[in-house]
Amino acid sequence: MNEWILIDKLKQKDEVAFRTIVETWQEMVFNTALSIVQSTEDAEDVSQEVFVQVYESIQSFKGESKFSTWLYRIVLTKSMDHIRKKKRKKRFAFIQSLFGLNNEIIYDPPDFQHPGVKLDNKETAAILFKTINKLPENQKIAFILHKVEGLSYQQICEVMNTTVSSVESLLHRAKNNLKKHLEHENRFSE
Amino acid sequence: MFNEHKINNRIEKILNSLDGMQKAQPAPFFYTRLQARLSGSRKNIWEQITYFVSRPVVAFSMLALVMLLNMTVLLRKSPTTTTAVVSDQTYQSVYEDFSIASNAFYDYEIKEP
Repeated sequence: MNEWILIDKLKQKDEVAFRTIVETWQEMVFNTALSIVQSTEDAEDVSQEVFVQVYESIQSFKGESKFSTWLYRIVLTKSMDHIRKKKRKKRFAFIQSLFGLNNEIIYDPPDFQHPGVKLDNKETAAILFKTINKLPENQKIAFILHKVEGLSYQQICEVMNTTVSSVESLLHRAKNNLKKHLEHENRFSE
Repeated sequence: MFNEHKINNRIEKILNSLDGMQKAQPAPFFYTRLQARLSGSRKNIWEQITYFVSRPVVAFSMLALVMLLNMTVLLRKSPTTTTAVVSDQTYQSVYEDFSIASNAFYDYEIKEP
């Protein structure tokens, strides 16, 4: 079925249209969320939030951009919100533990293993994902959209609402920063 | 020199480790779980009102508004006149309420304040 017909039907709260949209886009939504939040459970949670948001705010989608662009924006916003919320909770739990109010042990989750990575790259990909988390927000998003989602510079600039040259610059800086962090870690481990 | 070369190779390998990766799939029956969440998120009108009022922005704005109204009411009243009137009225009302006046039949001199 045509995308625009589906969107029109979804605006009328058609269940079949919603199901078709979910089944078409669930992989893209989940994969992007997973690369950002780096936890299967959290990615599932974020993906559900994204589709609830789509269902509730489809009326605000005027068709000025592609549906996929609009969807990517929701995924990125929800994923970053999720990370911020998690960090806030962790900080709060740490403060509580200082005052002896919370005796739960705070632990760092184990290194994230993306299920789609080739078997012989698992170890290095885990290091890369860990290092990606050290990047500033915009660089992290641009890098994931390019490397994991395989989007072109043009598509990334539409999603991030910026110019192609800024995307190029973001990716260049992201790679340089990743190299710096990796160099630092490798020298220490030598 | 050899070490430097080794490190650079390793970094390149790490940076290229996402090449040719497959897309991750959500667990089966994603739509069923989504439907359950969607029906759970449809709140009734009172839940929606409570949710709206309990949002920090709304709660603090309402608190600020109440404080502003209080301040406006307090500042509008002239402090000197108010005190005088209130003290006079208070005195009068206490006087009447508790019958401080000695109006007993055997009291010759009625002393009023």
